[in-house]
Amino acid sequence: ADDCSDGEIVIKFSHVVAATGHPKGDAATMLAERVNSEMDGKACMQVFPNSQLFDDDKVMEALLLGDVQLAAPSLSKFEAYTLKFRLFDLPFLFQDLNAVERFTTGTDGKDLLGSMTDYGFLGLGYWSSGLKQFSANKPLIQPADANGLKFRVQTSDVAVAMIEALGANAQKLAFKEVYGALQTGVVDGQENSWSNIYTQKFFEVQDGITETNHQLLAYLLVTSDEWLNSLDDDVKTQFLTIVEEVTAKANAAVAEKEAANRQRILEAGSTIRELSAEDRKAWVDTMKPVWTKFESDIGADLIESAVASNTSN
Amino acid sequence: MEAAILFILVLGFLFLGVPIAISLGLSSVLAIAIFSNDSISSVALQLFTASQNYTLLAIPFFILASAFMSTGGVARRIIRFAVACVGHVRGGLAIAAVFSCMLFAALSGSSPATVVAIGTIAIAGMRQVGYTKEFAAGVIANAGTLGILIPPSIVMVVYAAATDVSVGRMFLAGVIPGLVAGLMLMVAIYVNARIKKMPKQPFAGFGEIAGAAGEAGFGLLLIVIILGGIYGGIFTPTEAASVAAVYAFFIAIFIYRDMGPLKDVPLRKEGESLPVAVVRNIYICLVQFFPACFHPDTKKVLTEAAKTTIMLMFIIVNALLFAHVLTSERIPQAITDWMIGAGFNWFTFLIAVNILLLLGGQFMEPSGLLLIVAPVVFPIGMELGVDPIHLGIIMVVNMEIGMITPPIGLNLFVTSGITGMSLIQVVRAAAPFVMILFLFLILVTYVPALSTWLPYSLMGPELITNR
Amino acid sequence: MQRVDNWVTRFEESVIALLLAAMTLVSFTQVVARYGFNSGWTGALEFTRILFAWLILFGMSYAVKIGSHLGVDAVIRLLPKPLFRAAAIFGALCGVAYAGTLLYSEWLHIFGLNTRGGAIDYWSKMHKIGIGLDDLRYPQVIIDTFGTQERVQRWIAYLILPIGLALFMFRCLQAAWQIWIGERVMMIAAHEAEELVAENKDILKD
Ligand code: NA
Ligand code: NA
Repeated sequence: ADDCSDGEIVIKFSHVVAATGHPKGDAATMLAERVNSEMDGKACMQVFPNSQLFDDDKVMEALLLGDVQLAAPSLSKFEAYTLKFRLFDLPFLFQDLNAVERFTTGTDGKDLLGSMTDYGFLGLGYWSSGLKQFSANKPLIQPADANGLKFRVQTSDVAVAMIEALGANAQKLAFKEVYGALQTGVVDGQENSWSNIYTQKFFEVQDGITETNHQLLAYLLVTSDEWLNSLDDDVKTQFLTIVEEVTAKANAAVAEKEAANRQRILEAGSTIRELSAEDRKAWVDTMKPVWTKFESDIGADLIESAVASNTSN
Repeated sequence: MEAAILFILVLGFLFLGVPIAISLGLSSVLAIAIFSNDSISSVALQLFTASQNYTLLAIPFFILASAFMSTGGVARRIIRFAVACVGHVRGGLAIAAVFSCMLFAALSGSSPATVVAIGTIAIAGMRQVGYTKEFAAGVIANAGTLGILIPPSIVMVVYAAATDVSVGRMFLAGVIPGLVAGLMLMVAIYVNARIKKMPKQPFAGFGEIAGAAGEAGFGLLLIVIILGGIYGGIFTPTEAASVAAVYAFFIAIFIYRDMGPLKDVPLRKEGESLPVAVVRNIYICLVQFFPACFHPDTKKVLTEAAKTTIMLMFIIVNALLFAHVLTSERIPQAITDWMIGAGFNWFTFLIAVNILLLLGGQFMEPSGLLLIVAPVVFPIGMELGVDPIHLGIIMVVNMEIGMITPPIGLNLFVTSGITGMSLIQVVRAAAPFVMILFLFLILVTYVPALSTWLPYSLMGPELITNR
Repeated sequence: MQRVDNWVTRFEESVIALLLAAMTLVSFTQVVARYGFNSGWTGALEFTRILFAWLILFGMSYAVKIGSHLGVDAVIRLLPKPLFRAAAIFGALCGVAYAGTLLYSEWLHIFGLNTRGGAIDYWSKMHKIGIGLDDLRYPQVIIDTFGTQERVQRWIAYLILPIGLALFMFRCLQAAWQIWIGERVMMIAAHEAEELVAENKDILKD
């Protein structure tokens, strides 16, 4: 039960998506169920979905104020704290979600979790949501097809640079406005995971989706350093173990969900365009300058390490 | 228990004459201080967050557009057009008054402004041709409520902000109900006029209609820009509002010239040839552009609009704080569970919503009320399969009726103020037409297509992401 | 004294008018830039929203001064004079309590309440860690000359919270005092169109 009884540590988790049906929402719900059953009497977790409490921007402040204990904003939100997080936004960095899993569970990925303790934040795990696909109100086959279009992107410098490399224009829009904006033509295109494209029905108002898999969409489960260290050791250990298991389980389920939602988009009558090896190379080459631009922010070895995760050994 | 104390606190403060905003804000702060472990720092954070809400950002812009458009001259032009169109049928001036209110509503989000702007001219006009003062005041007080149903509407923006539905669809949804409500009032007046043999005007001729339309058209283009711009993909609703404000400034200063540096400078001087007039107007508009921006009249409108914005937004922001406390203490969820358990269906649920809003509307400013009621009512409505846009229109119509029902009704106060009639007299005068609005409420409540047909055929169905 | 007062009023009115004008122009220019020139300023939206917050949080104290905050006066008007005045003072003091608690809630400890934080605490935490806003950046010139960080600090935007609340508290105290000495009847306006009606009072009376 999420009614907390006296003496239990209250863990408030505030996020911005639906409680079920979205990879992040599902993971949060799963985490709450396990905490509430296994840590009953010691801790109790309340999930506030749909930005009921805070949006992604303000939730970080609420963490520091101690009024929320867990949040999971998108990775690009963290470049405000450490430029190293720009790594995850680099276009065509990871081949697939397996590569992401290999990198995030490896040493370099784990080190990044602790890179924001100066600000009082501590990453607990990466929650994947899928790789992003491009869509627009006209077919996108060659990078040149995107020329002159207006794309809605999540604001991060890398994403903007990526859109500009296409000769297109990046626009910032609140997530809930994207459907209407695509429909009426305020913007021409967007980029998102299969699950977001399906659940937000973006495919209805676009001329098909191009399967580019060009960028990672993932969230960082984050807490306040101060809060975590205030917990008794045994409580902390038990909590972190549950977090780790839920993270692994949630990430393992993502690829399947993404495939299912991709299929649903097809069944709904939309077109999905796969890129030939040649076309794909054209996209990769067009966006390569973005890597160089941000290499000094991120660090060459970190990029190398991420690229290395594409080949399982 | 917590919920009960919270609501008792708010009502107690309200009746002791504490400002509405502070009643809500102080109750929220106290609730957090007493019942919750949250810090007041995060309440301060919420205060700032609520003050920069993206959807609500449209409100100051609409208020500003409305302030530029509420000058006497605009109302006069609209009335001239309305009288030219329908003045010649029986009861024509009263019907024209309703028509004028509908047109003015499309420029302004405010009902009292409509009553004052149209009422001061139309009531005097009606009395001159022999209508009783009571009849004229009753017509205007009621038709004035259309200001919040016919887009643009601040109450709709607030509903959209509270429930995450799209402002564009809400605006479109208000169009047909607005026309229907206006028509119902007109038909009632016409029937009454036939029975009582009320006066009619001579037909003014198509020349007059065209001339009047040309004059009023510049103002009425505003609503075309707003709806067309949102639907045509040029801008989002918030941006539409800012475009509307700039457009209204331009029309008020450079075309209508009821204010600003070009006041009383004619568009075409007597005997002036057309090309000369065009060149002269372009020249003075260019030369006077910057003086117009810094003219005392412009500053006055800006200050008035800012004052209205602050007054309204301070209530809204504190209502959001209150709603935040409700959510964080999980009160809406508890009420939803209880109502579903109590066996409400959509039919009885909508009756309950109507009654709740009509009662609440007596004490509470509409936007504030909406922000408190919506988070509780919306999830229940969705659970029972009520359409989110339809629910919004029902709420707006309730707010409308609240404005003309005693003991507290904004339009009653305003009408009484400008006519010098007592409140009781105004209530009595308005009563027959209030009955028509009640009939209209029933119609809107149980015929969802009235609200949903237009937005859904133009923009597709509303996607419910917030449940 | 009167001169100073007029000057303050003019200042307050100029600030709110300017904030509203700036919001409108930035928003409008953004539409023109996007639709006309396929470009835009990424920081526009965030900047406009901060101006919006400043308008409300700065203006709320001015609204106390001019008595435009809405309230329900129907019930207290039924009370005898002294009680009515007590209620009016109570209303103003509630404003003081509201702003005071939001500023610094720990004064409630005297009632045995276990509260913490407030706007001052929030602002100083943001000041201490110095994190930047999402989209609002300093122009390159400023970064180069003054060596500032890239993003405009949040504490700059949030300055209005403690300042606005303190001004609000001051105006409410002032209102309570004015009611006490009989210079003012109450703090609230009974409805939003009071001024509009006053301007057109009895214009249609026979
Ligand atoms: Na309107
Ligand atoms: Na009423």
